[in-house]
Amino acid sequence: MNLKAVHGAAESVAMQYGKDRLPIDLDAIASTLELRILYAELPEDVSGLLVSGPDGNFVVVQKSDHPNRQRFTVGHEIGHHFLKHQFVPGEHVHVDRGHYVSQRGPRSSTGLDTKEIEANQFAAALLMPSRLVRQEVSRLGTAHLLDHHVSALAETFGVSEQAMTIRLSSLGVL
Amino acid sequence: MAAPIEPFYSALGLKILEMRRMRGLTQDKLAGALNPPSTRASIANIESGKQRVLAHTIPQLAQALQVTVSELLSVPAEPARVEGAVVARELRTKLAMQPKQLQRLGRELGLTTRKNES
Repeated sequence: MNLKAVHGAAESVAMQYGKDRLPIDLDAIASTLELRILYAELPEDVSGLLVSGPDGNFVVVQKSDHPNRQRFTVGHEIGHHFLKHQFVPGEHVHVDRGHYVSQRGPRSSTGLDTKEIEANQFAAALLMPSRLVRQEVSRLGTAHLLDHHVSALAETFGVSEQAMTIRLSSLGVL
Repeated sequence: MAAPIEPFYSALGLKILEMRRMRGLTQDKLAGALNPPSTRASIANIESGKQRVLAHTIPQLAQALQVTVSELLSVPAEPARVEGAVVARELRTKLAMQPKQLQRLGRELGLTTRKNES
C-alpha cells in the first residue's frame, strides 16, 4: 500500500468514526474496529503493543507516557491493525519500541521499516486529518503560523507540538 | 454522527472502505459499478455502517472490489483460535518484564486466569 492510500484510509476512518469533535475520538474508532485499549506498565523502551489473543485484539499502551504520546501510539497500533500488519503467520504480539522513524530518515529508504512508517503516517492522518487541520489553521486567521499557534493547534488535536509541526509542514502549511 | 446501527454493518462498512481504498476507487466509482447504479451518499452510509446492504448488492460489491463474497462477509473477524498460553509465551519472549507485571498483563489480556498461574 502506498502512503497516499494509507493517508486516505486513515482520513476516511477519522472522518466517518471520529468526526464529532476534536480531538479525534480514538476510543470510538477502536471500538468500531473491535480493538480494546489497555494501559499497562511496559518496559521503558516500549511505547505500545498490538496483541491478538483468544479474547480478541488489544492495543496495549505504555502507562507512563504522556497522554499525547499515548494517543499517537493508539493511532499507530490502529494503523497496524487496519492495514493488517499484524497478520504475520504465527505472530500474536507486535511490539513497538520508542523509535518513531521519520518519513525520510536514513532507515526509511531501506524498506525495513515500511510497516512502521505506514503506521506512523496512518496515526498522523488519523489524529490530524488534513481537512480539519486546514480548517483549524484558517480559523487562526494568519498566514504565518508562530510557535503559539502551533501549540494551540497541538492542543486542539491532542498531539505533541512535535507531531503537529511535522504534520503542518508535510501538509505545506508551515 | 449517528451511531452505526449494528457492529456487523459497521465492520462490513469498514471492510468495503478498506477494499475500495486499496483498489483506488472513489465512492462515486463504486456506486456506479452497481446494478442498478447506487449513489455516492449511499456508499458513504454503507461504509459508515449507517445503511444495511441489500443481499443482491453484496456479490456486486464483491465483484467491483475484486474480493470473494466470503472475504467481504468475513466480518466481524473471527479471532483466530489461539491458545492464551501461546500468546503469553510470546509476550514473555518479546518483553523484558517482571514476572508479576507480565502475569497481570496476561490476565488483563485474558490469556491466563489467576487460578492456572499458581
